[in-house]
Amino acid sequence: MELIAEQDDGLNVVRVVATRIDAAVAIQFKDRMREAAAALDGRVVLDLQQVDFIDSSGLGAIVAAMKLMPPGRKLELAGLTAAVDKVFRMTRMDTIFAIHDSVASARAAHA
Amino acid sequence: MRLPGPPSPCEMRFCLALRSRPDAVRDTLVDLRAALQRAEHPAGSWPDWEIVLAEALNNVVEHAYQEAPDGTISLMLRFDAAELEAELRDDGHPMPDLRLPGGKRATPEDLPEGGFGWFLIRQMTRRLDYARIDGQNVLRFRMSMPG
Repeated sequence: MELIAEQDDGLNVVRVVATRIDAAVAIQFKDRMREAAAALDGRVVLDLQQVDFIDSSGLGAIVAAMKLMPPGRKLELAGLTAAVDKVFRMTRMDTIFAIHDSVASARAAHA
Repeated sequence: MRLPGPPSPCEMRFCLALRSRPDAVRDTLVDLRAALQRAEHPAGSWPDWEIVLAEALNNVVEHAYQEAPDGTISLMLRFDAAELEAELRDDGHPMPDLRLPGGKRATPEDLPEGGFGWFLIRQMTRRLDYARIDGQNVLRFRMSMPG
């Protein structure tokens, strides 16, 4: 599980370089997000394009990561694949995140 | 010689055992999906079974075996063109009161970091049944594939 953080024009993109966020890596994901979040300023978009599977531990870890964001900053999501989108929609956790089709559309939103 | 047209979806059965570890759960699910996709079975592109099995298996790892990594989980799956029939067995601790948890949906506004598993399982399965048989937990369910 690797997270690559890049900043461009005040938009922080944290790309998940892994195909799964599941119980096997949920704690690792949370720890890496904590490290990444500490260095970020401005909007933060989590790019999930490469992730093709998430379980409820992974979902919980993303919620935990959102809570790690400094006050006034939100974690946005981009690039949800079919299985990931399904888990977010069924649990209605899609209602508490700003979700973008892609990093490009996240960039276009409120640009 | 090429077969005429795509292969018709036939029955695929899996009977396997895995250790009670998160990485074993992951490896098993990845292998199952690869096997279904290799056979061009429609379940290979159907995410639901993997979501439900992940939740059910993680539950065994976390609660029945309480994170002890040396437990055994046996898994029997039968996929056909319309549905999945599944049975999981383990030798771990029984469900509290020998009953399945209710599976109420967690409230998104509370920003829950867990408690989604049984909700997802109950939403996506039918004929969900739990029994304690000869010191084993036996969980059975069926899932219908979309049209």
